[in-house]
Amino acid sequence: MTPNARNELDSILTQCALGDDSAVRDLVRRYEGMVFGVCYRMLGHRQDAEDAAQETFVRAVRSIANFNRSRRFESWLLTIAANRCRTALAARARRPDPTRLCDTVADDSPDDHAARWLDEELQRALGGLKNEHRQAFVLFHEYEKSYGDIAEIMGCPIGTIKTWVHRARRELIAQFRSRELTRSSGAWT
Amino acid sequence: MRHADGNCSDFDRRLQANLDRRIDLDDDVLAEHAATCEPCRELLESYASLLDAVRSCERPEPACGLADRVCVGLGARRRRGESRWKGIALSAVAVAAGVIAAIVPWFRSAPPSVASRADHAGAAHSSVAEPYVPVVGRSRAPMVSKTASSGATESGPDAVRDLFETFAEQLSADALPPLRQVNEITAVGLRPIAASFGSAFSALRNSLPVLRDDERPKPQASVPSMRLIA
Ligand SMILES: [Zn+2]
Repeated sequence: MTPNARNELDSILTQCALGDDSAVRDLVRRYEGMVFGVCYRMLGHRQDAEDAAQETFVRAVRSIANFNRSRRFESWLLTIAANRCRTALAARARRPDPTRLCDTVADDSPDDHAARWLDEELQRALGGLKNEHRQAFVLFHEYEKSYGDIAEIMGCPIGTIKTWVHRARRELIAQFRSRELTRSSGAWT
Repeated sequence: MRHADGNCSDFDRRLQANLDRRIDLDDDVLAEHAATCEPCRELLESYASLLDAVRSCERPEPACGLADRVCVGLGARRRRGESRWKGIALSAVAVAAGVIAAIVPWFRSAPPSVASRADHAGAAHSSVAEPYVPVVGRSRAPMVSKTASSGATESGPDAVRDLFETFAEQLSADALPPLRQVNEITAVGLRPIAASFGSAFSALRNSLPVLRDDERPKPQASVPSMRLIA
């Protein structure tokens, strides 16, 4: 992050702490894609992910005065998102609902059918992983966070995160192979 | 078989290292081994397909209006936080009111020794004396009260008693109306506190030999009279 971007973010955070709604909106718009995306990958359900993302921002803004500015804001925000997802998954485990295993999209247009299909396949494969393996994989490969950042977000040693990402990859390719999902098979192009 | 020798484990290590460093998997060394080892070639193809899937699939985006919903959520939290503090403040004021309402009548019903000290000081030669009227922003009629045992008028301008009378005046005039508008949670929390204070002070009053039941003044503030506002 450039010094200018850092200063801009600092200013937004200060305004958020003072209760400025327009700063809150600015903050949400900057990070909603990342926060919602991670929540969606973790929860596999749009509405649950929307709720978790909303709760993440509400909690973040409420605690912004306690945020240590020497930390990366993204990591801190994703830590809150990870906690929200864990809570949602724990609640789901207590009250299983088979309709929430994987979202299905009703209005498929022909143009993005392939991308949607691939997204559903990936989501299905991710759904078969342990929660921590899935989170580590998504943060590393989809959101391109470093192992150090993921260790900070998930509160684990870097070695553990590496192991989880490796295991997630192996399990995912095993699932891809069992479903014959490879580029060369022509499953997607 | 080639995939069982050391080259395959080297291949896997290099593959994992490339994945960890996000280096392109089209690596000459990997390609060289994969060209001659089918299992490793399949492994390489699987990892490449996985990365391709992750890169190709749509990034999930939230529905419009997440920022608005966050602001609404924050507004609701702030309001809840304010009402919680308001509830705590009202409870504190109510407890203080309970204490003062219980203490003031006791001070007013001073024991004979206090009244006689006042008489000796020459403060009560007339049958009706006007006690100190605290200024609380409104007029007040002269107050006449009797001591418990002698029936003599009370006129000693006792500083402590005046202080409590001032409090009692303010409580009965200004502080209680807002207290009547407490929410249900506050009232529910307040009842046991009020009941405890009531019991404690009645026990205290009963233990004082100078006070008789018929002369015991009624407390000015009473919690059960509060009206609940949902
Ligand atoms: Zn090999």
